[in-house]
Amino acid sequence: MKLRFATNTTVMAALLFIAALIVCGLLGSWFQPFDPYETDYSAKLRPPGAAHWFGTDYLGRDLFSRVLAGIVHSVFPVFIILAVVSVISVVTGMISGYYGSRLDMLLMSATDMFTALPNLLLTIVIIGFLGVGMENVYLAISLSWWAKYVRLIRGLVHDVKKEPFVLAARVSGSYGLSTMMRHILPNIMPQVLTMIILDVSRIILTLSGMSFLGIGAQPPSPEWGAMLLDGKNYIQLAPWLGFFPGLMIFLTACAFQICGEKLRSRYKLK
Amino acid sequence: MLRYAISRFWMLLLSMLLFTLFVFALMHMAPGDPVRLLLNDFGAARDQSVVAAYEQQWGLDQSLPAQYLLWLTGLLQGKLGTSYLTGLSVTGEIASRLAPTLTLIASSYAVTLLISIPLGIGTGLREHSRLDRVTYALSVLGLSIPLYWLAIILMLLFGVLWPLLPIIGSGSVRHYVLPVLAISIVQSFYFIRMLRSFTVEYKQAPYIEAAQARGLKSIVLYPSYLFRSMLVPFITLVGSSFPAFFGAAIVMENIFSFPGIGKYMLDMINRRDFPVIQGCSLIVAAAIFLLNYLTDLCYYAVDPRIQLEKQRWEN
Repeated sequence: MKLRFATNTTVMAALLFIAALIVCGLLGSWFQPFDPYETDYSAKLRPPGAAHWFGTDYLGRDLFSRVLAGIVHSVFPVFIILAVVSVISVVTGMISGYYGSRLDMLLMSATDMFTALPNLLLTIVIIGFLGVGMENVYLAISLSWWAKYVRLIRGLVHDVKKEPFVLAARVSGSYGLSTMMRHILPNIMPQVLTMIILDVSRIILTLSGMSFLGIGAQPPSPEWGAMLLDGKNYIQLAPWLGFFPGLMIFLTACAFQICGEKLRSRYKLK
Repeated sequence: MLRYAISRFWMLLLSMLLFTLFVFALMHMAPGDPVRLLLNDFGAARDQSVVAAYEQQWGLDQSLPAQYLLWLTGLLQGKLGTSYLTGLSVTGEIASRLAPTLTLIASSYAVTLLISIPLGIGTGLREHSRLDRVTYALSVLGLSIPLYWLAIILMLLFGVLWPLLPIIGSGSVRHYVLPVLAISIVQSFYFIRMLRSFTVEYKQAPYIEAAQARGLKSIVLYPSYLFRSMLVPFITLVGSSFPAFFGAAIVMENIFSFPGIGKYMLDMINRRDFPVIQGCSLIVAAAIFLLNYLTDLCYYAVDPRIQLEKQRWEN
């Protein structure tokens, strides 16, 4: 089943965009024409032009530089969150799926408690009590995401476990950990990675969404969602303030979504 | 049916109880003492007797399990406490804000279903048609569009550049147009995709082929064979997407300054008004658990083979 959208050209474009994003994020200050935090009252609310590509905000800060600086705050944490979450859930899911029986039941009822709660509610409750800020948003997102993966990974392990090559390995004397690492993990990896990449865009949207709601990154952070919130208040005076950060969130999420869709059709995931 | 309903009800109560424990635990992990925070605003935090009086008034001087039980019995009597900030009852504050939020959610559901049922089933029946390819391409874009950005763009287009609709407040039907539109656009992409995959999956069932082989016309075949069997996943889709709609409503209320629960909740998070956060999250959780319960009952009514252990998808 090949649909025309996930062609190689769009996937290449998406990969290039992601690569550019990562380079700009790592070498941040190098590409930024202005200091993203420096205010300049003589040049406030300038529309996009030659000097300021994306215009300037109400404090005269260069929006283009701020958008570039925002990569570190809006995109990189997603990788860290997903890395932490996937390690935890791969370990839990594999143990649960491989050993089964009582341990499985125990672990599954623990994850059930988390999956019963909707992500958003968990996030709001955690932030509501522990306070506004990016660290608590990371905590909340990780807490609400891991259980979902454990279930999926457990299911995958369950299927792979019955394959002849796993049985063969066990018959030839391979024990728990080595079977899991050498025979099961490599076989579930493609699906797990696809799942993770498909979720990158959702986590980017959630992260920026929290900042947009004012409970994540706080000004003067150049987090895209926080910038969008600023932009909302200037919608009549300076619409570009809201347009560009939002566009970046959209493009980034889209790039990851395209790559994820490609992988999904390759590995026949639901 | 009754046995199923009752055994499923215990699970509902258990999840609710666990949630109250979770909320209570979080509340006590929260940094900062609410009494001192509040009294600081009045400049009275240094006066130990005032602090003690407030702690006694709110029951904060008792042990944790005692506080939990006190709070839980209060909840069972319908008391969600009083707001630290205004001193008004949380129940009343929430009740007065319920209508706009519910209207927003209900109308978004309606518009989403209106858009996605024909498109989702249509593209599923005609896989790989041009319409199918276009909706698929759009759905990749649609799944990555930030709802809040879409709302701002709609505001810009229809509120600022072409001032057709109000962009702030609530009160008239016109105030609902933009938020409902934004939510429905974003949710429709997900709904279309799911409905398409249900249609593709179910139209391959042997009984559909058999009915086709008997020469049944589409007009009879689809409603009485295909759509009927798709009812179970459809109910799950509608039921399990409530949190997503609620989340979208929170975002919309904040963008369009809608006086609903979502806006209230966020305002009070910023003011650290714990009883309000507690009350709101408990009511929302109860609504979500109850809806899950009703969804499960609906399944059972539609398809009695369904067991308790049936896994629901994660939204």
